[in-house]
Amino acid sequence: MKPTTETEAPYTDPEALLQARVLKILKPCLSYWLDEQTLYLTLNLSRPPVTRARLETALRELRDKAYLDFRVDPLSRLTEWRLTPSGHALAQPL
Amino acid sequence: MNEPTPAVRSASTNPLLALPQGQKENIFIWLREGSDHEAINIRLREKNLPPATEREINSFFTQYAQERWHNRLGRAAVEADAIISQVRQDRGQIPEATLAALGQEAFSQIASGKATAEDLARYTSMFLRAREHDRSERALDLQTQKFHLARRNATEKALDAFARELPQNPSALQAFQQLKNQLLDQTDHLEEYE
Repeated sequence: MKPTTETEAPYTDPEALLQARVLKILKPCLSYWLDEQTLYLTLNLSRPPVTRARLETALRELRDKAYLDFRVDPLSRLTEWRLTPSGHALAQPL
Repeated sequence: MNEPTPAVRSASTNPLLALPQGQKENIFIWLREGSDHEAINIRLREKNLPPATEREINSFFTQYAQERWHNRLGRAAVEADAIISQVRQDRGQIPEATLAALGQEAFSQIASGKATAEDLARYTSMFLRAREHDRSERALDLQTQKFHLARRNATEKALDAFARELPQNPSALQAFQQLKNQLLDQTDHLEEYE
């Protein structure tokens, strides 16, 4: 009998895909903080476009899962994000 | 088979995206400066490069801008680390918290596109040079002070030696002591003027 090859269905959950895009952008930033505005602009360089509200939800979820850390820069008052060690581990294959 | 004409080439075979990095960067800069389709093709011809359609030029600009932006984010962290290492190697103690703040500032500036890595490296070396210059000036001041002190001691020593040679005449000795004090006083005033 010929063995059947099962192909994995492409992952289509838009929110999970958005979170993966966020992790991918933050990955090369290493331990530095990236401000939310730059993150938002970077995300919207490619399609599909992302609204600010969706980005905020994605960031909050990733933070709740301890994949992201955030702070408010004392001088610029901008919210900044970076990957936690577990976030880096998760983003490794991306 | 004939080569596809520029009009029917798809975005994936965009010849502009296959050019060497330096040429892609040049075309990107020309476009950013506002060169139109015709102007780009004239410049491509000057460089012995094949002409491109308007669609290819537009698609190149979008794709290359994205690529460039992502590369910038990646480079920002690398460049910030490099700046910290450069400053850390410099003589003198710079607190780790200051270095971390400097690295974060360098990263933020490069990542947001407000400054290039080269600009920040230049500012850092200017800062280090200024610091070095300040240290040299302070070292020079210290050296000058030492020189004045040595000159004063030498004068005093010479005069003492001379005094020992004087005949045992109290009035001559007294006059000599006055002269000595006067001379030392003058030396002190000279230091103030210098």
